[in-house]
Amino acid sequence: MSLLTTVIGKHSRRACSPALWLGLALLSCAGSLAAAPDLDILFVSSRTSTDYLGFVDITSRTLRRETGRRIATTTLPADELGAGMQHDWDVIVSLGSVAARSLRKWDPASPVVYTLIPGSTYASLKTTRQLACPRDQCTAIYIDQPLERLFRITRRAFTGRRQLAVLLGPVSARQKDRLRQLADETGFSLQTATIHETRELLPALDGILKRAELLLSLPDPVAYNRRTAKSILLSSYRYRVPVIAYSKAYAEAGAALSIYSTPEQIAHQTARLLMNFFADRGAGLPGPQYPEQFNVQVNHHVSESLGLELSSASVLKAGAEGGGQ
Amino acid sequence: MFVSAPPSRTRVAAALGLLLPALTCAGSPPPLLSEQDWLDELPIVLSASRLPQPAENTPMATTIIDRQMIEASGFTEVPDLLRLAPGFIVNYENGYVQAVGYHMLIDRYSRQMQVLVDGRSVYEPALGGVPWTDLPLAIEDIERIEVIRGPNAASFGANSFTAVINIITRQAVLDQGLMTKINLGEQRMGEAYLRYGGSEGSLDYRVTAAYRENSGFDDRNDDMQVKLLTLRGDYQLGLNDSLMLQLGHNSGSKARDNVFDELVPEYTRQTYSQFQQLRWTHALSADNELTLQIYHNQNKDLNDYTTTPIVALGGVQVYTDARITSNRWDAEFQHILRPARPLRLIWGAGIRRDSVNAPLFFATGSDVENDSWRLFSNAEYRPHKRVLVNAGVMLENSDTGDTSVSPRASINYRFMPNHTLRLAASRAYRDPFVFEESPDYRFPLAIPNNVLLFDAGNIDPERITSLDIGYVGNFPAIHTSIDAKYFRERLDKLITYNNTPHPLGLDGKALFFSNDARARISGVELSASYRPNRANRFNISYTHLDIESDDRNNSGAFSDAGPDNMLNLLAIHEFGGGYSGSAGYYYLSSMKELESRGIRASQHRVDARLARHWSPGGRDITLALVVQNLFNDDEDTRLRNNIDRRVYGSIRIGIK
Repeated sequence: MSLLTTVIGKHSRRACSPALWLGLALLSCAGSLAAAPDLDILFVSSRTSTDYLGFVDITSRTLRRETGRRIATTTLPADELGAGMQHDWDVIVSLGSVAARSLRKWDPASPVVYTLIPGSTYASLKTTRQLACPRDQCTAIYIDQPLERLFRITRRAFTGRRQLAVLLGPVSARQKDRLRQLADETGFSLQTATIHETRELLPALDGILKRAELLLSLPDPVAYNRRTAKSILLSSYRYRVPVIAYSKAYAEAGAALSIYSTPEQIAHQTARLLMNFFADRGAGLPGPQYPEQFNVQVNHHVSESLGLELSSASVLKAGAEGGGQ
Repeated sequence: MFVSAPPSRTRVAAALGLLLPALTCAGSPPPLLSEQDWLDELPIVLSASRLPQPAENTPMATTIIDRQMIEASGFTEVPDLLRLAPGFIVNYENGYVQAVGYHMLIDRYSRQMQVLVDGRSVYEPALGGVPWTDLPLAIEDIERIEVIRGPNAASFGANSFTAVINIITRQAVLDQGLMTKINLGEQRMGEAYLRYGGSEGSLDYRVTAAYRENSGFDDRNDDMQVKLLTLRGDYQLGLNDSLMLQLGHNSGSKARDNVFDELVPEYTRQTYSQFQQLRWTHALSADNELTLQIYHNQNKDLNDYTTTPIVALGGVQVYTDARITSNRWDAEFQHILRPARPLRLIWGAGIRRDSVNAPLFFATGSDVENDSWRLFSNAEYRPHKRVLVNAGVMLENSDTGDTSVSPRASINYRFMPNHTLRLAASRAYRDPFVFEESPDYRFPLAIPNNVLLFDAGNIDPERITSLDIGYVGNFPAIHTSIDAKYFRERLDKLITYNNTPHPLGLDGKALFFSNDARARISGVELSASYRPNRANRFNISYTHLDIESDDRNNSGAFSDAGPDNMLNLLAIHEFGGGYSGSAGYYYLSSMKELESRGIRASQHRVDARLARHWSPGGRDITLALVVQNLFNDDEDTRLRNNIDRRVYGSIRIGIK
């Protein structure tokens, strides 16, 4: 097993190349001998790209800065989990869906915080017992936004538009009842179309966009992916229907507005959660939570071209927060 | 505790293969979401260069004719669609030769406008103008037409003189599946469209084939049959790079009569046109995009005939070879960037070669060429949230027009929310086309005095200076938007031909081109759009023009070259249950008849369309009945090119 980045005390590094991984592993041993840490945290990451390593970096730094304690952090790619690993971590932080599944195979004994995980995936894995949750000590900070937040910001951003269309796929269709309930509560007239295969996309879009004033996007592997993004954005633009999306990339690609949380924001929230946990271990881990911090990104080209006068993102965000969450 | 080693992939696949039918029956669990659905990057789909700006931000008055308007109008010819824009005059030389002018129209050649199809100029370089029915372009593939009402060489290049018509076809990804449409109607109208769109990996493609025929006008020998085939492929090379490839071919068989020249027999000519276009786009963000485009257009007019017996020459019949082949090769580079939030820049460069082979018009069997290059830049700066300043310039050099600088500047001031004033000034040049620059047109008989039109020396580019004050208002409470402009245009050095004594002239006289005409046009254009809901839409445009012109020998080429008043209306209503209806009204007051000095009376035209749409079993079916020129309001003109009432039915079936 090729370890890992291990960072001791105040030192912090990002590792990308195998050589560096190895180097840091050796450093880890040396460091461990030098001084025993107060807390030992294992990060298990689905990938080793900037988003994930940046997450580890921010979480570790924030914890060290805010607690002043000696914290050892070990970062391990999900596919490197296996026999011979130590089991007595103070806490394990899982980054992403692949890491979450890998942990089940390894079956750790320490409490686990699942981060960067979609709420539906967490729920599904937990229900089907595919999630490691030793002694019921696990929780999650989802990557997705609560639907209430999406509805509130949408209502605030697009005053006067009440015909809301939602294109659903096999995964997002599970939220249909909740969507209907929220639409009723917030005064939207909701129209949904559910597709089961990508080839059903264009007819379904044509069907709902004819009457829609807004298209709310919810992540779904069939309905929304890199292949379908172009069709969705072009079709919606053709019907002059603004798209409300869930990622920064969507806003840049052509959605009028996107509401999302960055890995950095979720990392800060993770650090806060861990600080509370370490301060009072007896209380255990809190329940799963949505991101507290989020961004509202307006695509000015698109919104202007559609003749929309969207308030600035900060105003929308403040308005949404003001509504209470 | 560790789980045992995972089974090999093969075993998993095999197990899945056995389990799959059972799982499907039992309702297989859908795949789970991954955080990558939030974190993955996407290619830029709606980049700044692909989006039309809102009316209040455009540097020039702009009209957008969208797909809904195209369908509701019932028009089957692309130039007719321009009747929907204020200030545009559409007229017919015969059933298949249409002419479009902005404010003025004197002959069949739309020489003074730039016409682009997906960024490709379709201006014909030999005699000028746009051979509309020769274009490899199916009206069914058009997504929208952006009409820039005013000179805008700085943004759209050479020949963006009085206006720019920017035709944008649908991206291939939106036309997946099979579509067929058939129009059958009076005047032997028969049209069939067949389109198939598919995708292979990162490639989306569309193939469109069409056959069109009609018998033209009742009193003309102007039957037309056209076959066209176009292909568009959009290929996503990677996150930031995409390629667009388009190919097209059009072949036509077109009858010709002797309205203008009794020596011309009634015969049928063949036309062929084709194009190839490749565009690479490198989009780093919506504000930072590089494009490189190359294209080639070819137009062939296989127009040759033997005259009727010429009495003056003792009954001799003369073979006339009026065949024309023209080619245009063009390459252009463009970079859009936003170095700072309030500043947006576009700059680029292009080169072009026009090559024409037309022995009758140049008295040579060799190609006549015109090379040109251009540099252009445009800056959009917002010094204050209410103020948008736009400035652009194009530097252009061509063999026929030397070097010219076309500047444009505008300021948009939003004095109240939803209310914007625009002040715009622009200057542009129209380079002489090859025939204007170096004509040598002779009667095709080997006699000494056979000159019909000769080269009288250098011809300068035509020049337009335009000033307009515009207002754009949105009234959301009453679902109405208004676009108004008052304009003054000075057109100088306009090119016309005149008669002069010539020793080798056919009757001791010959024609020559000169820059002696000029025109002053002023007027107002008003457009309003009312869209109370999705089921109703109402567009209206009114134009008033005053043209003053003077030219050599008082030939009056430009006097009455436009109507005093124009009005167009388009109303669209959805009745529910898939039924929809629309009606258009188009009015032009009296103006000069096309290709002649005569004046024609005012024209009124009413078109109506009733359609039903339904979607049984995943198919889209639309049935429509269209009546053009409902009240059969026509008149006798020299050209006899009146559009009689025509009824046609249409069925469209889409299978996705």
